[in-house]
Amino acid sequence: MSRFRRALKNKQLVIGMIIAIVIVVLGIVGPAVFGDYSKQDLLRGHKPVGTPGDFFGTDALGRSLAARATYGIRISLFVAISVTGLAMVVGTIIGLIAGYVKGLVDGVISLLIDFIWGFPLILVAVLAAASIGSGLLPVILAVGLVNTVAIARVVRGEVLGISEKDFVVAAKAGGYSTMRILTKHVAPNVIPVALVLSSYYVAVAIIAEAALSFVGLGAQAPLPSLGQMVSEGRNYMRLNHWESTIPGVIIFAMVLSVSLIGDGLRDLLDPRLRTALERARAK
Amino acid sequence: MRSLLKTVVLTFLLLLASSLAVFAAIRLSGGDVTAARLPASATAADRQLFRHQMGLDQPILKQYATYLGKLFKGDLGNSLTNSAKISTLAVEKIKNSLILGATSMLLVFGIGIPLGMIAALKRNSWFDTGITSASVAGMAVPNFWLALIAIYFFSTRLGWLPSAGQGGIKYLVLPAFVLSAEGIALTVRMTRSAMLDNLNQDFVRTLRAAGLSERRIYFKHVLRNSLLPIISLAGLRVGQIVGYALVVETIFGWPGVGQSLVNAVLRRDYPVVQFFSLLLVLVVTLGNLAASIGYTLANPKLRK
Amino acid sequence: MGSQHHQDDAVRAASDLVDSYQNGRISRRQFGKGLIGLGIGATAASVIVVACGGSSSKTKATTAAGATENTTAGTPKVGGTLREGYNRDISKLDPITTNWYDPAFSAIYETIVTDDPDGKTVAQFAKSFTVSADGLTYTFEIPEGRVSHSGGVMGAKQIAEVLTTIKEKSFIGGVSTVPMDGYSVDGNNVVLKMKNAWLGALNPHKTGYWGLLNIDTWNKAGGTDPKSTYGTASTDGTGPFTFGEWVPGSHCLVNRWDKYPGSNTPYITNKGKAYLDAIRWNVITEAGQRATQIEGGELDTLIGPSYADLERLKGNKKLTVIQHPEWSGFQLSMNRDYPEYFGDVETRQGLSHAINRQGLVDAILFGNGDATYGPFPKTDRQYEPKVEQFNQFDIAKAKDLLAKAGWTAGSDGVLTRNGKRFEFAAVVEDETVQKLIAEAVTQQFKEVGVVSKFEVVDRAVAFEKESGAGQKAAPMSLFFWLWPVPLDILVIFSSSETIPVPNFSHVKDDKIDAAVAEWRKSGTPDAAQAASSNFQLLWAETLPYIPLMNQYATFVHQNYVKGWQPFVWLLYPVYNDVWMDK
Repeated sequence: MSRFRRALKNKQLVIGMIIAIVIVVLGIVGPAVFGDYSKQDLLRGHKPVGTPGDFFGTDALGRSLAARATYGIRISLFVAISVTGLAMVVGTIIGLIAGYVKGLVDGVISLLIDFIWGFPLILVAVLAAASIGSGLLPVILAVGLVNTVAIARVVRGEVLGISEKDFVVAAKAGGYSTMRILTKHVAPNVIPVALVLSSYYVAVAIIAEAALSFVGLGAQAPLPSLGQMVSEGRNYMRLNHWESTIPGVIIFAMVLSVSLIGDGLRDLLDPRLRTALERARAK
Repeated sequence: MRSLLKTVVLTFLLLLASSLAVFAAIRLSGGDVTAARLPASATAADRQLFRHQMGLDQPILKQYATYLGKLFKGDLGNSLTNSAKISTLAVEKIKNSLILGATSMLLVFGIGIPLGMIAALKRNSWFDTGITSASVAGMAVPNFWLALIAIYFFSTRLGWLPSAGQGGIKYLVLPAFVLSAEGIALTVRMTRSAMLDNLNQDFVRTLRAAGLSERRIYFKHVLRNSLLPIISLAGLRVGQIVGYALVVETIFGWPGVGQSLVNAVLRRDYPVVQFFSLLLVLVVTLGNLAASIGYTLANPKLRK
Repeated sequence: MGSQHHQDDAVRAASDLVDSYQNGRISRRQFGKGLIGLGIGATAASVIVVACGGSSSKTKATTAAGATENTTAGTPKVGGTLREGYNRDISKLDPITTNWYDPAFSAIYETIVTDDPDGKTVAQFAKSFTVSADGLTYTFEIPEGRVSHSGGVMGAKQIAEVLTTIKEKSFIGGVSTVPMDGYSVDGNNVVLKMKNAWLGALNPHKTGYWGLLNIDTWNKAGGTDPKSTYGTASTDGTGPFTFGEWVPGSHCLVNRWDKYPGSNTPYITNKGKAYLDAIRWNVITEAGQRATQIEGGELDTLIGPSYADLERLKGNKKLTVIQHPEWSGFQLSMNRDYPEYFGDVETRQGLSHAINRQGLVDAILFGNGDATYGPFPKTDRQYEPKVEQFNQFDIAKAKDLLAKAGWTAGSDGVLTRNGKRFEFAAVVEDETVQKLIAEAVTQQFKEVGVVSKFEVVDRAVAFEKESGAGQKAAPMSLFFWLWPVPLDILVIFSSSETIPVPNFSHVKDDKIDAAVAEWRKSGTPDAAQAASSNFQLLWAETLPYIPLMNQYATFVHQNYVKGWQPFVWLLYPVYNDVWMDK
């Protein structure tokens, strides 16, 4: 059975992908379909979903919930994917070096990694906001740091195992350069792990961005971040719960989809890698 | 064991270094303290004098040493927003956070482990499917939104539980459940997969062959082997709960360390930010250390 | 309420005063010294100026039955802890060093005089008080045998001492007591001498900042030292309740003082110690949870529910909602030290016409407020309705005026003039209502091609950013003022003497200065009204600020709570009469 067909049989992966596609499409076409997210109509505030003329509901200032939420998807995805992507690249490189070079370099790196790894992303982001002020930047820095470290940690562990393997030992004996061994022999074996892991960290990043915006330390108005929308809507739960339900459901769906994709990919992986992943996820 | 000792020592060195980093970052970025404490009409000389009196013109390392010195004497300074003594404030906030945090930890394991066990034992039953799906959802739902939903149903609609504040146990129910939701989901998942792994191990077959009762095999051997890694990693849950407490305490108006830290950051109340962030860094570090020690002890292979 | 008789008195007194007022002008230096870092309360406090009375007749209490209830009816029951929800965090309980005073002040402290429900000045701690015919001497008769909570004697000597300390050491005191010469002791009396007659002299004395306390205790705890434990670990007042617990971000508790000898205040019916055992204020900063908690029976009384929940609360048969128009306002400053934006009147008028005030009131306050077109809210007794000819929402007119001012739209729709885009930074405090106003206003400006970029910051930071000199202050800031005694605070907001605080717009306008001076010289009620109208019309036309709206103060209590009656003249209820029928 080809990999692709195996993937199609994996329910989690398929459901996760479907949700992800829907969300990404919403993020891309939403603003074009639902219009300007900042357009307000003070006479049409707090309209629930299904109101004729404001079918997707409005917030306190009569702004379209759909337009704002779909724009919020963009912000979330931008922060989560770009930063986690960067973290994956940097984390993999650090992990490769630490695991392969060993010695003092590894000692220092792994000490730092172990130390930072345990820190909850939200705490790091709050500390970053305390230092550099509120906004998307502290969120990005915190997500970048914590995810880089988390990925480096797992990659390093894998590399430690792989570098003992016969094919690597043989390559070393054959006089290949370290660079070549790393890129040709070691990296291909650890990158899948890093990729799968990254999908989980995208989820963590989405939640962290939303949570920070929720308490007022993340994206600042007038940018319609999803967390901020939930936060603004929470004062009107009785009046029009949609103001927080819509962004809340979207965050939930985004996180769910990347988690499912992660789970699905994991099942396609080598069983040995699964244990490494489960341990990494214990956080 | 020696390596463990090394880990402990190095962790403390790193703790010191990171607390210095947090201290310096907050001091350097804190904006002009004189703006918060002196009238706008204060002259540059007034401001300089104030900085001197407060020791703010010293090198950051020295300021840090002074801060630590005072810290150990219990002098944490005063809040800029309400002049409260931080040491007095902290006692109350720490107490509240401990109550909430400890309850959440209990829920994480007290609910997560049994559910995970049952799911594993009744593998592929409707119960297993339900619990597994719920745990996937539980890990995906943002807890601040879960909090809103919980308040909406249990306080606003049904009126069963208070939505915020403090008092008896009923005030603890909603925040503790929301705070532990993700941990419960994760523990269910880990317990279930560990149980399944162990049930497939050779030793189970051997024990069965030796005529041990299923019950005995499950509870004595499989469960023990499965729980060891989960319990040993309990320290990691501490970090997770600390992180989420920042948000959950804020929503439920739970007057703990998390709520205070978030408010202090928003208000630029630097002495408060400083102390509470150092405190949380310490707690998380200790949690991680406990996890790494626990993990080493639980895996004899790792003991060198 | 607000009887004609009383209003006439106030007008007469006001006119007596205005003549002499000029001598006692508040200097800019004094402002700077005292105000800074205090935020709203301070700014308002600093401007305890010439009085203007007020018609507070809009105060209304509604129950589901629609009847206004006599909340003091019945035989008082003793006991119980009143659980009161409060919409702000609690400040330290020290009148002299606090930035803002919270409801616990009116339980722990008494002031020398206070307002009654009709807005008339009546004795509180004092047994009685008199004013000399020339308005220069106030004599307060101090009751004998009074002690503070700790047992310290509170005689004339001690009262004069604490008043002097407030005048000299409190931020607010430094600016509010300007025309006061000082306090002295005369037998059982405390005598206040004025530099010139000033009807407003007693107004600051009614606020929480003038709460009477045992000055020895205060000094021993640390005085003005930021590390003082007074007000955070203990207090020592003379009010019916004593300090219990104070946990910022959470709650504050006071217990009945069993040695309280009873109130001197005529309208307080309970002449003995308090009925309640204790009062606990719960800080509820989550706006949506306030209503939920009082509906769920977790609270007995509530200050400041979210307006979103008000209709529901009014429909609840177990609850009574009390509302009165607040002496407050939201306004936008336009820093004149950015003349490229706000230097010309057409531009300012253009911006103002772009704002849909009624829309803001309806959408953000759910109708619980009034649009303002001039400096004063409609509640002000000297309100000039003709200001409403200005600043009406009219996009076409706004665009027209901006075009007249030389602004032309660029390719992206943003206005430009002399190569400068109409795009500026602005500051707003991190608070639900104000943030929404800023967002709404930003969008309304955008409609006419103007880009305002509001930064959301904490209150102290906001104050820092709006109170700088020159371009150190942000080009625009949203400011909310609130003050419990009737006064004409906006005079000071636009007087050239008070740049940069609280004249955040840095307005230096001879006409406005002249109008203020004219008003302060007016000798008859008619002249005072004429001068006030003139000032308001000038202000509404030339726009030192863009006025937006005021809001209604809102209080909710369970019907079993009796005697809990907030009224427009005081920010908070008086607690000695409160009891619970349950």
